[in-house]
Amino acid sequence: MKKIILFILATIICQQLDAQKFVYSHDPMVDTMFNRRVKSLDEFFARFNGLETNPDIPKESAESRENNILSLFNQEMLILGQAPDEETTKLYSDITEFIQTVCKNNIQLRITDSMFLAEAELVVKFQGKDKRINMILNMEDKGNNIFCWTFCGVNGLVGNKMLDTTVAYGIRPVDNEVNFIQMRGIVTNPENRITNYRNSRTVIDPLSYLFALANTKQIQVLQCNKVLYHSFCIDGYYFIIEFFNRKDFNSGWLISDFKQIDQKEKEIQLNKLFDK
Amino acid sequence: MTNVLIMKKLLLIIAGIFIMFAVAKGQNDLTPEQIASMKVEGINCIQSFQSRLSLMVKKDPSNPEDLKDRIRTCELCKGLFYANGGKYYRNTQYGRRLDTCTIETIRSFRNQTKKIDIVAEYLDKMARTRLNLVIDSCSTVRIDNPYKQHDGSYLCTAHFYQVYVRYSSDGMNIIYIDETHKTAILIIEVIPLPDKTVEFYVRIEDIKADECRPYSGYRR
Repeated sequence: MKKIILFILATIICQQLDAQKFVYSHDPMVDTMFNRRVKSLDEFFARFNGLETNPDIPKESAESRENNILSLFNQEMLILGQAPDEETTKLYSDITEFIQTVCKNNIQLRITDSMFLAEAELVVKFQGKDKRINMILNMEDKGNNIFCWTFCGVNGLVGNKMLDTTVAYGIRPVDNEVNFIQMRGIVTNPENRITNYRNSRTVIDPLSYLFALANTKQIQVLQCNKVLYHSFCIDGYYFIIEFFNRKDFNSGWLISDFKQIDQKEKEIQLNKLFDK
Repeated sequence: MTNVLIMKKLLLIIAGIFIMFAVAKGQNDLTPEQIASMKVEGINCIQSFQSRLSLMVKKDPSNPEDLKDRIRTCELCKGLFYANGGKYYRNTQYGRRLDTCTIETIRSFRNQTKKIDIVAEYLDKMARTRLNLVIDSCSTVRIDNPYKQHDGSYLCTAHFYQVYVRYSSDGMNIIYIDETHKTAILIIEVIPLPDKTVEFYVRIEDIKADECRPYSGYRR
């Protein structure tokens, strides 16, 4: 009996202690963390272009812009291990060179640049199944200072077998004599894939194909999972801006992938992005 | 005869200059000072929403008088939203389209399920909730640069965070403290005043929950 009473007392005391232990009060440190985070793409551009600064970097310092741009990189890819490999060392020197070029020539990054592309990962329903495709968008000036995001490409249709660009067979050579009698089955039956009957020199534009699917209600957008941005705006450099959600000073919209590229590599990257 | 021709040409030039000025005025581009005051109005709007929401859940829903207060504050909260947080017709360049003010919420840190509600319905639900909640309003709000719309109004985004503290029904224990980062779309109407200045009328359209995580601040 004594033991039971002691146990109950101990439980009550523990509960009381617990209640006192966790009393909520506003912590200004959370505000500081919030201010440090790159919360939006607009803030990313403002810090990159030297219009705003990270609260940790003094505005008046001579190297303010350099440090601000460096703080916009995902620090995880910059941390050098105990024995830095060749790749990391090269990346670090490339980034240093990039920052110097940007600051020396006062290069400004603009969201309205035609080579600044947004990639939105969409979950769509196609033939009863959920598929993931990536829409490529860029911002267009519609005149009179009005800007809008517009679709300019798509990738993932081929990978998801929604579009087959590899097979190109044709209709029998004698079918012209019977007024292409097979045509009805090819066009009306979606299983037949009309695209496979094209001339091998005819290139199918994935975006137009997607528009046709959407217009005929064969595709349904369920949700947009995430967005990331590709920048080809600065000559000789390509980088991805991605959202990093972590309890860290280096969080929010940051440069996640950075490459020094020539014209040929730029075309390869663009073709990959536009599924060509 | 030549004089008449010269006069005609002069008139055409004057008309041309006048049209150029009229077009430039029609763009209604804001000055940096006006953008700054627009941002201040945006911050005020978000902070009003935060404080009204905090005030609403503070009252005890089991007390009929307090419940009335809750509903009153809820209506005030709705007033900060476009079309009072309900359905409305949006004027686009392609015509009118039926739209709604939506709010995306994350259930909790442990259950990251996202849910989209109509703002008016969400606020009504919050006004009648029996959960013992404390919503802390953040003191920092970030407002991005505005974008001009076809109808002359402006759109911009606001970033803020909210802290949801749920106490047990006896108010003795904290069940969870979640920190939710949110992004809101603000619609800003520019109202020209007789003294050639402008006034900004800010309303919230949609709110999206970016992330929900355990409270990163100090607990005592």
